[in-house]
Amino acid sequence: MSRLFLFKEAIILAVLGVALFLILARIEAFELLWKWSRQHEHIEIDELFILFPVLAFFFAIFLVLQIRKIKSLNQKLQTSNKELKISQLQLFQSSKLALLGEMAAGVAHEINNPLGIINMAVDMSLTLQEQKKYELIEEHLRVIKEQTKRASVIVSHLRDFGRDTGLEEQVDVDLNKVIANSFILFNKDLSNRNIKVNQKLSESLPLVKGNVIELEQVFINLFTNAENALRTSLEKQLTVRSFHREGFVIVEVEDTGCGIPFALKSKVFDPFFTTKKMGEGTGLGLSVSCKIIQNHKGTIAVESEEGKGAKFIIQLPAVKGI
Amino acid sequence: MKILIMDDEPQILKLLETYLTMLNHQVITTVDGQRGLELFLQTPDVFDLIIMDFKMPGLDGISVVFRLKDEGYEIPVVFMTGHGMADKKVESQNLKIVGVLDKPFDLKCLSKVVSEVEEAMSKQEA
Repeated sequence: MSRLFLFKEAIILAVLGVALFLILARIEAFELLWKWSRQHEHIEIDELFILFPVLAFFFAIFLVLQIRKIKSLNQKLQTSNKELKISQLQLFQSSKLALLGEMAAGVAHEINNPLGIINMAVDMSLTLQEQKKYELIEEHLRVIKEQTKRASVIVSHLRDFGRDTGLEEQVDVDLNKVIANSFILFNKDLSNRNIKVNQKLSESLPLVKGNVIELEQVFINLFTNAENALRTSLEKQLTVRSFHREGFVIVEVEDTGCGIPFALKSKVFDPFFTTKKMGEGTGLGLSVSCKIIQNHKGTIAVESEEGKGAKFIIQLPAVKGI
Repeated sequence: MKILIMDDEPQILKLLETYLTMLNHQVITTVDGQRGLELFLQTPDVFDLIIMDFKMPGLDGISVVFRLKDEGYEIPVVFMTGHGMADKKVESQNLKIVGVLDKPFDLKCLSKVVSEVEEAMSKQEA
């Protein structure tokens, strides 16, 4: 397809080239050349007119070759871009799986609780059956059903979050829902660590264009970092705000943790930068989050002072017409 | 026996209360470690056993045991845990915990531990 296209282009260019030179020769160059030929009597004017189309033909060929070269370079650039995009997605996926690893203990606890309740309810039902108190069994069956649903929500969310989103198209996304989903996997862990979560979410938040799982990855990264920063703090508060301003949806994730020293503030978005203990973090969370937000045509920034907590501000363009 | 149960999962409290009541024990429940500690300290001589979650918002299980120890009480305690790490932590703290139940656990395991405590108490009384 592209070869045929190039061939057509070459013919058109050659014809145009010849025509252009003939026109130039006739209109402007003709007079000059005629004068010049009069001074050099031995060159016939007809010979010059033959020379021009030949020169035009070679120039056209030169142009076609240059265009071919540019096209081939362009194709290489597109291939490299695609490869870069795939590598970036692989990095997002690896970092997401590392994040899941960090959250494993909390998630296990989230699943173990409903499992524990189910197990007890089954034991109770069996005991009641032995005692022939059948009318009391129904209540426990309801508990089993309810807790199975609770566990399956966590498992299905875990599966969705872990899947490779690949080159999925961006869709209209409600960031409030993304924030709510981000808490599913470690809500309990936060409350067990006595972290008070304040959600101040705008009820009329415009949608943004985005990839739900990637955006969730950003929020989970921020919540995990906040949880880490709050471990040694006396006041343990995590506040999430969402609002919109001048065509942008803004989400702020603020904690009352240890904060970021001034010297390290410029490095927090660098790949492999981490203040966590060896084995507790990859140092990719914030750099990947930054890249994800940039891919969504947004920005992420941090405001922090050592000992006074940190506030991450995400700004994403709102979908027009809302 | 009079048993104090602390767990932040109301459903677990309800099930344990029903089960242990069926086994003829008196049960008092609370979703909070701090509240549980206060309840115990109000009438410390009433309770024979504490069953509690290892991790709870507010005051967690191990902190409750330390506070009881500080106040001079050594009541038998059974921990319930969904983290599987309680054993090591309890051992390293050198505390007298009569049982650690990993969630999900069978109610029969709980009744076994409770019976052992009951048996030990009767022996002591005799």
